[in-house]
Amino acid sequence: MRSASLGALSLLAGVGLWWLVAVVFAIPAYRLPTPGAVASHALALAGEGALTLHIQQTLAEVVQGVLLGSTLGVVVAVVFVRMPVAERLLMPVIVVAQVTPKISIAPLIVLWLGLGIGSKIALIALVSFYPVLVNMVTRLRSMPQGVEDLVRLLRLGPLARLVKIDLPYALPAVALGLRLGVLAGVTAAVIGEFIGAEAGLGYLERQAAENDDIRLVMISLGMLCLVAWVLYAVVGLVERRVNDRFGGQSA
Amino acid sequence: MGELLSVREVGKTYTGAKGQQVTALADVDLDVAEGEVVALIGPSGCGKSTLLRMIAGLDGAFDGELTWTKPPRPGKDIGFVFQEPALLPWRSVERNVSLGLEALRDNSSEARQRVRDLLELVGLADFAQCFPKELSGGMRQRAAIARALAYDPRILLMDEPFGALDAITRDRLHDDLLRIWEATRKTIILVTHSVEEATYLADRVAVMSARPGRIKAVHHVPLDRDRDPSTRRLPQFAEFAGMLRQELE
Repeated sequence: MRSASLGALSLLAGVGLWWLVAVVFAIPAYRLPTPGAVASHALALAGEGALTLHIQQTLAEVVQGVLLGSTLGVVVAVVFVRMPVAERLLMPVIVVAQVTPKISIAPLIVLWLGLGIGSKIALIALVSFYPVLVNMVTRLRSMPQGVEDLVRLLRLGPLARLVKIDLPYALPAVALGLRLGVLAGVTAAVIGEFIGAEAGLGYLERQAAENDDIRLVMISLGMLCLVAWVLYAVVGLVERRVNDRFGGQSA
Repeated sequence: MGELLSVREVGKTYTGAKGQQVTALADVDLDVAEGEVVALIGPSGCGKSTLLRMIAGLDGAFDGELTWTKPPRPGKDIGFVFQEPALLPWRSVERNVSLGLEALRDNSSEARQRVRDLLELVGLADFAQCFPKELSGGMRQRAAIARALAYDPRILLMDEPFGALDAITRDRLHDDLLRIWEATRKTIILVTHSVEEATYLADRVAVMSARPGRIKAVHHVPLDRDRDPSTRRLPQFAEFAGMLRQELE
């Protein structure tokens, strides 16, 4: 609780400083509007329901993209651990896709999949897939010898092993990958929306920038920050629960 | 007591990190009778765990022969207790113990009753619904023993099962194991590096030497099968343990 109030305090201090700078240096509102002006504009827009669509759009993109990406990550991780040949064949492609700056892949995906939600989901899936994959492969490879031996002694079949041992054992790694994937996913959503979209907070921010509407830029930015923070916090909460039950070494 | 297993001229050679040939085990002969408790004792690196893993079917790359009077059915006849309990942290004690039964798809009421009886036998009946992290080290190892016995295997193989426990807990688990043997009459092969443990628990003790791992001698423990903590104070106990210790030097 103390760290939460401390965090709120430091946030408040930041807003106070912003206000002070805007007023003391008499910066014109088209350069740096006061927090009050931004907030009242945000309230007005929210009252009209002008933000809802964009928030929903971005949220829907991130949630679906991360779900798709992490599911793929889990599947590929299991395949890699069971069939090292597949890893040697596919890992180079995956690494190339990961080291290529996402922002440079985004136009291609938008060209292929269009301005709708599909291209954003694909882009988010691409970035959230990797942390889940890597963390899960590492975790599965560090299975304690005793558990490995137990699986062999009990002659657990591949499916039984997957359901009873591998997936529950890997859950903490999946949760960690998911938390990292969500953050990368929000960034990817914004990139996709900048490149070409019909809705979403990134789209809104870009429109606002083109119209020199600095207040709306700041509002979009604030909303993106909020969306990312909420998703991160929710996944973090799930991760703690998962670690509590499935985490640690098997002892 | 009939013969259960005979190990004949078993050896194992592997290629070391620098490409040299390393002989882990050589010319190992050992007979194990049904219902017998045999301890394998020796310095670290003598291959006693390797031998146990061969018997368990976990290590198939060896020379020589393992002959069973009745070959072990896969996943059914070998109970194994590892040095670490290797419990699954997300499963309750009861569900950890019944893992082997699940693997066999044995959902019968006898099997469930068996799990309850075993938990009772190892003193974990009140902890059936607890998770491993809520248990002490000794309790975890008790759960691991119950898991190894849950599918009623023909033989129980134990790889330094009490090595990681403190002395008091270890003594208590020794008595538990005697009680378990009394109740189940399982054939047990126990790998240990403690002469007292071997003396207290085993009918026969096979002393191994290192590099290459060989069986130096096999001794009958000159004690009644009926043992309890007072056995540890008998002169024969100290004498036999002392003899083992000398042989290990």
